Amino acid sequence: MKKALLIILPLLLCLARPAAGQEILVVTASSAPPFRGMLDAFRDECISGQPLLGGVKSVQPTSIRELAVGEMGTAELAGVIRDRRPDLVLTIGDKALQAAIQADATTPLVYLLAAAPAQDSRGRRNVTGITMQIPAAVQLAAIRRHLPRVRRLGVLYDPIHSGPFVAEAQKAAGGGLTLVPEKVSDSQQVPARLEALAGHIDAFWMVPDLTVLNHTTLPGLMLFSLTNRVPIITFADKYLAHGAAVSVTYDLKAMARQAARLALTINAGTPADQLAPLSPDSVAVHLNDVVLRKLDIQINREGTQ
Amino acid sequence: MRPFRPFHNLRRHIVWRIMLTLFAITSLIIGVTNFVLFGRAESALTSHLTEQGQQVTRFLAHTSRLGTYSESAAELEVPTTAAMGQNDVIAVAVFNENGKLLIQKRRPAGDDSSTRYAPPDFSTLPAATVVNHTQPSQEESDTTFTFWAPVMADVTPLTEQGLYFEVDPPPRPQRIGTVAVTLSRQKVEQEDQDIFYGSLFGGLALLLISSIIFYFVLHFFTKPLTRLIQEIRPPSQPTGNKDDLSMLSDTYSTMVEELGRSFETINAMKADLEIKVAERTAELTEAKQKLEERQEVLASANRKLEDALGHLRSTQLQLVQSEKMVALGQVVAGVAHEVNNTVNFISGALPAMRHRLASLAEQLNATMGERGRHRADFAEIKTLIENMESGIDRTVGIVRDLQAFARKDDTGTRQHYSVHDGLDSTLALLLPQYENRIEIIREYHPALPAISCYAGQVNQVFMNILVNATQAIRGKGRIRITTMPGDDGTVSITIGDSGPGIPKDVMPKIFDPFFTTKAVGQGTGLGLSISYQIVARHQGRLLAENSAVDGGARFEVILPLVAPEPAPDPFAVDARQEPLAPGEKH
Repeated sequence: MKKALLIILPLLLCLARPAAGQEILVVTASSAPPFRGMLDAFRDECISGQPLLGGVKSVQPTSIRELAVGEMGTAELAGVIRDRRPDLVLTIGDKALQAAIQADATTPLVYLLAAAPAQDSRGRRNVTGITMQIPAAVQLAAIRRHLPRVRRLGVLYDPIHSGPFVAEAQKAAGGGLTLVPEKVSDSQQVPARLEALAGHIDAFWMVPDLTVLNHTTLPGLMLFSLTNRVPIITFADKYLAHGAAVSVTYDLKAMARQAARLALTINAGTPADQLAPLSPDSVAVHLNDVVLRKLDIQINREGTQ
Repeated sequence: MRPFRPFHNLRRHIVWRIMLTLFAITSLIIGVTNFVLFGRAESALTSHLTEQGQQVTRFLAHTSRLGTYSESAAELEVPTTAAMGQNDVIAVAVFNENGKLLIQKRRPAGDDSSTRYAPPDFSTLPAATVVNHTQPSQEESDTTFTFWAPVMADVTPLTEQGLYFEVDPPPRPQRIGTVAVTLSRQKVEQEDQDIFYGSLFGGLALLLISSIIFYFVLHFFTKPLTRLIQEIRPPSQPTGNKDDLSMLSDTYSTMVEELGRSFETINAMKADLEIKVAERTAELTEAKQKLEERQEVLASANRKLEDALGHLRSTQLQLVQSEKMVALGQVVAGVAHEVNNTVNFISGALPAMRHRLASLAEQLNATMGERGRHRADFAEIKTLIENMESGIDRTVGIVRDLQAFARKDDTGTRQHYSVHDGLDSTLALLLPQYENRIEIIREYHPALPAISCYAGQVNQVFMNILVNATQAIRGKGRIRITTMPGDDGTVSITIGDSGPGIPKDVMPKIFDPFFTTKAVGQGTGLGLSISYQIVARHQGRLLAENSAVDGGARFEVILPLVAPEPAPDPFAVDARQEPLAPGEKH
């Protein structure tokens, strides 16, 4: 009898259904606090967004492993990713995205903080993520909320780079806020176009436009702001240190949670190429109090950081 | 009429000559100092202007980056206007990277005090010349300084990622244009002119003030010299042709010559004086020698007189002492005779008394038997008689010693004398002085020969030495007497005690008459002096030292076996003289 049991039990184990858990490999450009915060938010969202298999005593259905880029080159990093054989790769940063693209063409991939994801993905299909372009309507809503006295919002843009975005913004304007756009086709035109805006705008809205922004024009923008007492509203925190007054930028943890939901959707069986990249669904507003005080700008500080 | 020679008097007076020299030196110092200071000031001004031009140029190159990049004259208006507002700037220009003039500002000549010189026209410069100024440089003309500097900016486009993050490499500036700033030299020249005239007038004022000060200082300090010159100038030539220095020189030469002659005279007088001094000294020396000789004669006579006086005094005392001792000897001889008679009675009676008592004892024994009480009485009487016989023998011995000590040598002739007997008789007389207190150690030589001498005098010598020895020993002690025959026909008698000895400072004086260490009235100081004379008269020697054996004084009497015949001496000591009484001190 005992011999029979010893034979039957292994046979029954062979008939058992394999566990449904999947592995997500998070490739981060750095382990610095902002990236660590995003990773924690991603992990929390994954855990809370998917029920446990088999009740309380079951294991997590999704395991998350980390891989820091560190000093590794792109090729080396791609090799490491290949060796891990994950079910899904989450990249944070451009370098992580480029390595993951190079590593495997079949593994679904979700990106975060990729400045140029379309360029980096090289046409691969199973790639999606959260872009860094905050919708104009979201930004304008934040401007309206925190800078209620701003009525005329000037913007310089190159139609080639930012034409659609400005058109979207013009559509979203209203509610007492008027957009005053000025086209530039060359960065050398920026000072002259900027002078043309002087006296006609209450604030200047800096959009991510490669023609408008470079190392030489940036001081000119800041000088224009100070000499004309026009606050600059920018899209990234880095410009606050250069003299911008307000930054309406992305919320890193919210973006991580958005990415977690995308990953869970892919793990649930939806192909990645059927999921279009998402824009950040919320923004964070940061202030440069020194500039605001010197320009004597009244601001609604509710919800700012 | 004297010719008018204004500088003649200046050269003649020493004060004015010094004044002229100081004036020339001061002028030279002020001139050189002004020249050096002027050169340094001009260099400093030029350096300052250069630094100012470089700073304005760097400032313009920095502030015109945006305007140069955008080639916007409006954008360049502010920085160029700010540069033109700087001191001494009369022209500025900004070019693009190809040397094209973007903006130029010039201050027209004659506009104000700083534009005496016309500014350059940068519009006429060829572009190639402008483009060559890729590094900060400067050009200098007679009227202007022109400074050039490239306008540097990073015009590299940002990356997509760089739009959001600080990920782009550090800025890499590149030349996007050139700026030029021209400064006028007018201010430097004006400053140079001001410094020149300032230093010139300052130097002249300093020269004037210093000349006045020199004059008064020289006048004050050379007043004695001037007075001296006036005094030595011959009265007949109060304003002679000679200048002050020549006159001083001549006077000095004359004084030196006169001084030389004076020294020669002094030397001659000095030589004469030395001769006279030598002669006088020789005379004085001779007189002094004579005087010393006279003094020596007088001193010698004085010493002889003192010796004679001492000898006379000693002899007188000896005579007194001798007379006293003679009288005492006569008394002793008489007493001894009477004692001898008495003792003879007793000693003559004692055998008869002993015989009678023996007969009486036999009778009593026969009568009362041998057991009677009388036997004890007779035994006691016998003992008493024996005691009496012993006392008589002792008395006889004393008398014999007295007679021996006071032996008559008044005949003035030598006697055959046993030294040991003389010592023993002397010791016997002194027995009360040392009995039960002092141990007498007799180290008599068994073969000591008898000598021929004046016995009484020799006994007196022994008495004096032994008395001193017994008195020197406080409490118990010992006296060691040694006799020894000499090799040269002498005998030596040494008497040493265990007393404190003779102090070194006292030793040379112990044989002087009247010298004593005892208290006043306890000694005459003649004992050893007389002993010395007695021994000397015997042609012997009396030596004194401190004993190494017993630690006290040690006297050695050396006497010839045969004393010489006495010379006629009016102060000769009587042979019968007795030794000094106990208690005599030296």
